[in-house]
Amino acid sequence: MRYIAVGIGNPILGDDGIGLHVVREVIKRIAGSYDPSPGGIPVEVKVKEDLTVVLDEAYTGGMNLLDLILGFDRAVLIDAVSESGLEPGEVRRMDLDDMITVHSTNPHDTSLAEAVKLAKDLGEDRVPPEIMLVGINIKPSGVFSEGLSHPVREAIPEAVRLTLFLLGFPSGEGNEV
Amino acid sequence: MKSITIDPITRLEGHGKINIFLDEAGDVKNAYLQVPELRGFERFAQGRRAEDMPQITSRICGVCPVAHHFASTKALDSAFKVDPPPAAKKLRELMYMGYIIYDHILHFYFLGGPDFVVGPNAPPGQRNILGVIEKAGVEIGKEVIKHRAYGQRITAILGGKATHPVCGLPGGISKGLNKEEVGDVREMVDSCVEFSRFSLRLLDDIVLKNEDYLKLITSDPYQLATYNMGLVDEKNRLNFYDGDIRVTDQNKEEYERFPVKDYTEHIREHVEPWSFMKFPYLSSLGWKGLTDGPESGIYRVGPLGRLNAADGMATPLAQKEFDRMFETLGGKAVNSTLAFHWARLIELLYASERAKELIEDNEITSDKIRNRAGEPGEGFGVVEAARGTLIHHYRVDERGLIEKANLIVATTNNAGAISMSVRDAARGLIKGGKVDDGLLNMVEMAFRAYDPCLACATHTLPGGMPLMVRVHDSEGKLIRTVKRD
Repeated sequence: MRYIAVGIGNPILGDDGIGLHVVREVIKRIAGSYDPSPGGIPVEVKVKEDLTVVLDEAYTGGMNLLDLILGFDRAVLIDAVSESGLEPGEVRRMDLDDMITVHSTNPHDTSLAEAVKLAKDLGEDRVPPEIMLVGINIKPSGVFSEGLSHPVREAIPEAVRLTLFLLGFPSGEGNEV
Repeated sequence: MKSITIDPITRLEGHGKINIFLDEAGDVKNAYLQVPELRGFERFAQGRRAEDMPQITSRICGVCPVAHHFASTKALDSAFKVDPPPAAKKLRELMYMGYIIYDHILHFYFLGGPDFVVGPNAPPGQRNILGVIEKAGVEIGKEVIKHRAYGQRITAILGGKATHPVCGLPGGISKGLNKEEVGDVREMVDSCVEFSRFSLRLLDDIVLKNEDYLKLITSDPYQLATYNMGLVDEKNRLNFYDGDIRVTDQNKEEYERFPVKDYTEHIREHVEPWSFMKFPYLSSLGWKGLTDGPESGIYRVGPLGRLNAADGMATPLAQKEFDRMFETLGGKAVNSTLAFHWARLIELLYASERAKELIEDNEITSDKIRNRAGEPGEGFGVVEAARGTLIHHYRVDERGLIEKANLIVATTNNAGAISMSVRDAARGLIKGGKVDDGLLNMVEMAFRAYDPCLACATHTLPGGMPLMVRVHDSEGKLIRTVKRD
């Protein structure tokens, strides 16, 4: 089996980049360290005899995002969501159908759900059978910054645990496998 | 005053709002484009290493990373007083053509085209790429996807990473092309030339041969007689990567022509108290409000702005299509907003042909791709982003750190024109405070022609992006909501 986790976000737009922060933390936990230079990602780790996990980053959604996850058995996307009724920093697991995010719905391109349907309609057979999302709620500020707000930063451990769980680490602790 | 808010617009980048203001009689007085501005970039940039700017600015927008990357790289060429070797310029331009190819294909088939291919009156849920495929067929769908991916791959081969290039350096580029890559790119651009011609035939068959559509394109609400702006080469032919900024008037005559370093003398920005959005205008004419015609300094950029601002195209097939468009739509400047779509396809053909010329150039495999940078200072860079003229302006201190950064992005250049187009489209459909149900469609079509990028990079939106018009009475009380899920 081959799984992929993709952190999505804008690294210079504050909380918008939370998906990147989370996947980098996951990389540290699984691979031991994170190398930010070009070529530092994607990271590929063989975690079990029958399971390889790839960890990657993305800055856009739609078709470009679909290109990244083709051919995997499971794709876990980690992204900021902005849902009314939720507090910043709340972490939620979502499926393709209820993706109210964010970069996976880049409106210039097409939403990931639309891209998936389009690909299937056109006979693409490498669409992952399982696509799931780890959503971290944010309140977009629109201010350029590399930092995170306090509640969103505090959400990283929980989002990391959920991501590891969805990648097949039952305890949510990468180093125990 | 009554006001109507349309919020947000489907299938557009970022989260935008259109506010329509009615007069006492309940007719449309004005409409404004309002965007949630991304703030603080200038401060964010201050003190950073100038050489990091092409990477940093390519993160501003998830849609136009290549345009920002090269506007920035060119601003650094200028700041460090270094002219890249010819091979580096050709490699940059070739990569840029890859970006134009995928972006223009995306817009025509995914965003703007569905209004025509599926039809302006079709339900919004069908006016998307899936609807296009249903109408045009699966085989065409495959070609669309294939050629969009070719554009991406060309930029990836040259730029290192498909969506966020890392290759631009002051004085050149970090990576050349080998023989094998040349073969790959050649095969792709040959195919793109054919696909562009096919797309123009599709436009002919589905749009131009349909009298109703032609009537719509030439109808009053979609006409706007502004000035036009775009980059041109030494023979006044359209150029995406380099050249002077040229402005033409309503008769397609040259009004101004200047190098980017003089932009502050020619362009000023008007600010409205109710919006973060700035409205650029030609400083020689001044700000006369949201009005077109020769007295008003408002201009348009983007595909139609560029074709109007140029005397022709630098490649043979695109030149023929250029002539055909201007003959069909009136000879002089084309003022029809919906002609943006036609112009976009002509540019797609040009970009494909130009990519072919560049890949056939022997110099493209040269390893002389970087010249040594000089002492830092002030720098100006300009490119034609898919959506229009994009300017980067930096002041770099003696340590090579950014002191000041100013950017004028394409959609900002079009802000005044977009507002007017929306107003005019709404005018025919709101009378005496009564809102016609066709309003959303007509307003969306006016808006979408410009392919506006509303808030580069903030895509934190509700997934379905419902379209909503809110009608308020003169006391601000909500009297009607028109909503589309």
